[in-house]
Amino acid sequence: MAEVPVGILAGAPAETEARSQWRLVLRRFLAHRLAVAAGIVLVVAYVFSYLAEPLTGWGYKDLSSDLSQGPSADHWFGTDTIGHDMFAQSMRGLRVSVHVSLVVAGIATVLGSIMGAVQGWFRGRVDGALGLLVDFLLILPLLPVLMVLGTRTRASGGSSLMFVAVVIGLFLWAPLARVVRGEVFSIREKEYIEAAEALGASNSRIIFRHLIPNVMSSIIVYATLTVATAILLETALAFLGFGIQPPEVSLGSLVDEGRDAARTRWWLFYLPGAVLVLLVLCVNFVGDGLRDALDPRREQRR
Amino acid sequence: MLGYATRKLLISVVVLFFATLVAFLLVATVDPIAEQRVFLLSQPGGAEQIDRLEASLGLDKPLIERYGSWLGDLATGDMGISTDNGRPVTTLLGEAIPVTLRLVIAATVISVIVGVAVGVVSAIRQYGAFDNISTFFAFLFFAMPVFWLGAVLKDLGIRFNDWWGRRIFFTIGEQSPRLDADFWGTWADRAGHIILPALTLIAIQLAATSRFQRSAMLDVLESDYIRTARAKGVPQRRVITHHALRNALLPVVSFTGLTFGTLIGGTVVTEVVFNWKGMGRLFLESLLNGDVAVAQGWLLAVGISVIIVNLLTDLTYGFLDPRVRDG
Amino acid sequence: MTDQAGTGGDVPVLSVRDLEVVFPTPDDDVQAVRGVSWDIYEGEVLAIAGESGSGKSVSVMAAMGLLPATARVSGSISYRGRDVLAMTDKELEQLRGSAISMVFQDPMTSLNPVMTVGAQIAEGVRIHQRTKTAIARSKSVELLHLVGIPNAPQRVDSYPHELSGGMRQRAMIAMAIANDPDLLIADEPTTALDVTIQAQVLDVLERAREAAGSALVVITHDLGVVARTAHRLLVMYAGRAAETGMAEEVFERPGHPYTAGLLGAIPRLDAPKGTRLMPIDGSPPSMLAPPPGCAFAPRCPRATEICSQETPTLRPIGNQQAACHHAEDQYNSKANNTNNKTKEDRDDQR
Repeated sequence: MAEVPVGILAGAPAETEARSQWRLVLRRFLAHRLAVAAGIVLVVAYVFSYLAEPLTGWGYKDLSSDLSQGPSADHWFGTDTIGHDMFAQSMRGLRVSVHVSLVVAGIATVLGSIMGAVQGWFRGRVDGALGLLVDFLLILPLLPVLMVLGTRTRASGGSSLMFVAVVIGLFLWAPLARVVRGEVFSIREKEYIEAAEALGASNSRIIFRHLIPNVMSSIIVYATLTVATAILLETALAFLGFGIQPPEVSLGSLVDEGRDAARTRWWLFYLPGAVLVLLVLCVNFVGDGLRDALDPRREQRR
Repeated sequence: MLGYATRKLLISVVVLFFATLVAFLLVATVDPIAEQRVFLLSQPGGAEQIDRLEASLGLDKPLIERYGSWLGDLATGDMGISTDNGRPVTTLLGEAIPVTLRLVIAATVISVIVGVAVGVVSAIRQYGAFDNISTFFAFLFFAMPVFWLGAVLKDLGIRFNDWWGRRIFFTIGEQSPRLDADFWGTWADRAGHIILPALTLIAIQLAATSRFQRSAMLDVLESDYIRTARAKGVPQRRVITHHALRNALLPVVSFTGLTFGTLIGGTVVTEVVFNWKGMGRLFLESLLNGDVAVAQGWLLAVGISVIIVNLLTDLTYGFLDPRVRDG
Repeated sequence: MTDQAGTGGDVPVLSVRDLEVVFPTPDDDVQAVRGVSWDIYEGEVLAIAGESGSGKSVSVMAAMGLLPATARVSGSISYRGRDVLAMTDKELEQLRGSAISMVFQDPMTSLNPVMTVGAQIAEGVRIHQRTKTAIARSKSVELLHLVGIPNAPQRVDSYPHELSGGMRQRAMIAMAIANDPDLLIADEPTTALDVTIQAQVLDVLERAREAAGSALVVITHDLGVVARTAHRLLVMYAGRAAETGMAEEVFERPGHPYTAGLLGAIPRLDAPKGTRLMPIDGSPPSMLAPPPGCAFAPRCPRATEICSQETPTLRPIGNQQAACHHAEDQYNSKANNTNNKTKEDRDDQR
């Protein structure tokens, strides 16, 4: 890394220092071409999920008279037995997956950061009790548990999206909590934390103003990983019939409906699946680029 | 080591007790008469019928009492009766567990061995051709949903069979129905059925394990004690096998325990894709039918297996790392 | 300290000539060593001193063939006339731990945590002497005893985490002398240790060196360590030699302002009361783009215009050599004669 003349930093207000640090992170991320490309694909795909209907003229609920047609200029991804436009359906599924996974990542990240910081800051019994919960969640077979809770969605019908997202989010915070706890343990003895404590800052102020901002790098990287995990869980639940319910669309249920037709009408199975794989792949690439940008020390071990 | 093992065993017993509670509470959220309820509510006098149904299933009693009686029965080895087909849960589990165990063991053993090997070679020849190729596949399979990969392999298997003109890959069930063969014939038939499902799970597990082993190995190769070993004149091969590998296996041991829960989820999905009559199917049907006793028993059995696997990985860790075993 | 056998005309044990080491990084190349030469003779103790990042460790790592594969090394390193840089991996493996061995800085991380110390010492013996396990083990016990570990027959089966830092460093020393090497290299052997046991470990190192009959290179940033042990001294700054000569003479009259600065930073028991330690202002230059001219110039109290234009090379001054345009002024300065005695003296020097 380039040496920065001491005088410049010493004389600069802390805010500028933080901003230039984020600018450095941005620059390193932009140098990671695959991650940038993946990020662009994600944004374009998401925007496209709104443009699909105006562009192709088909909404996800529309039924065309073309039944079981292969991909064409009119139906880019073909149609199913009752005339659904598969491109519209896939784009709807993509949008649902993005929304669900963002809600999941939001819940899991907030919970995980707070739990981990509380563990690391209070130590002792609080850490022990929460640690047991974290350990338990880490070894829990998540999919079966979510299936049990997902039986509710079978009765609820179309309003299942938020329910699925919240339930997944409540179970997905443990890995982040463990990482944050570890990092808080290592920074809690630093001077600026001790100074804040000596100045009489309250526990919650220390946690939210000092500890969590200082472990933001890991939180961001884990949030991205959580998005990918959430997409895989949401679609797996829908595939099994315990997640998003019709008439709402999930890429998982599209794959489930199309899989028996894989030989005869390949587009029903392979195209929604490819959209799903591409989505998760791009999220992972972005996460990878973020990790390299935020933690250059690990760059070589991706 | 003995103290360490005893401590781990005690913790496992506590976790087991906790697991029974969680399994019970989870299944308590399932409405066993969900489908009748919708129908009956629209009927005159349906409300009373619902009450009678609930009473017959014991749903009118408080949760704590139902939990107590379930635990009491468990202590005598009684896991209840399936409301769907009237057979004892223990019998159903006894039929399903061996089927699934074959799949889980095959997938775990192969993915751990191959994953460790791939990770080690990748780390030693970092950024070499092998490393780059394995990185590519790891990323690809890391992003692949189990259910899609399984269905793709199934489709490819069928297409291959058609092209070859003979059935090589069996894509439905864990063995041929009404199979009448000797011991070897049975296992050969099962092997033909297990290839594609096992490959599905292996590909997913391998992606994670090999990446994890690679980064553990890279960490260790950078460490001071590896430099010490090399400074002593230890030959490169021995540095890897005797100094680096033993240390780099430690994180992978705990990783294997931690991902066992994920593997269970993957197994459920894979069994559904390939129509196996194993644990996955049993669980799926119990939830669809509101078969509470089966779902409870299933979760408990899986919980026990997770606890056993984690106990085994803890003990292996203690065996490999003197710092943990003394601490 | 008076034993300086071999400093004369013999063939050196190890001879380093015009060594340059460059580490490529994504941003730019790090020039860790920029042309350094030194020799070490049998039975001699050479100290290489300098701040961290001065290239002192890198130059001995190169001699052991322990640099990462990405490092670019040029110049020559020869062990008893054999070119180390041209050796195959196998030849290097035979050299390491047998002819040249090394004690590292941090005994907490330098021992393998999952092997007993006995097994780690015995491993080197078995590899180089091809002895049976039992013999290698009894040799380990002997060595542990030699380096002053109590209860050696029991301690041989201890894991590193069961030993204190000082004990671990003793075990490291035992490991290094297991095959009676020609040359022992100690890289900051006491830096990671508690101050109270630093002196003990230095004594053990000296005893081990005598027992093995080795030459010793001590790498340190602490001239206090040099003062106890070294015959000759090489001071490095920013990848180059700043000054070299007999340790006592350089201590008495440094010819380089940097050496004088380092000497000002050692605590001395014989200093009068009220003496304050004088750290050198500023920090070493970035090795990504070292400044032209003398690398020390930005921090040097004697710097003049020429210093930032022309790179000084080593030239004789008295019995020693210094790479400084103002070596004479430094060598002859009044302050040197009463070096480190009082604060007032140093103030005069300013």
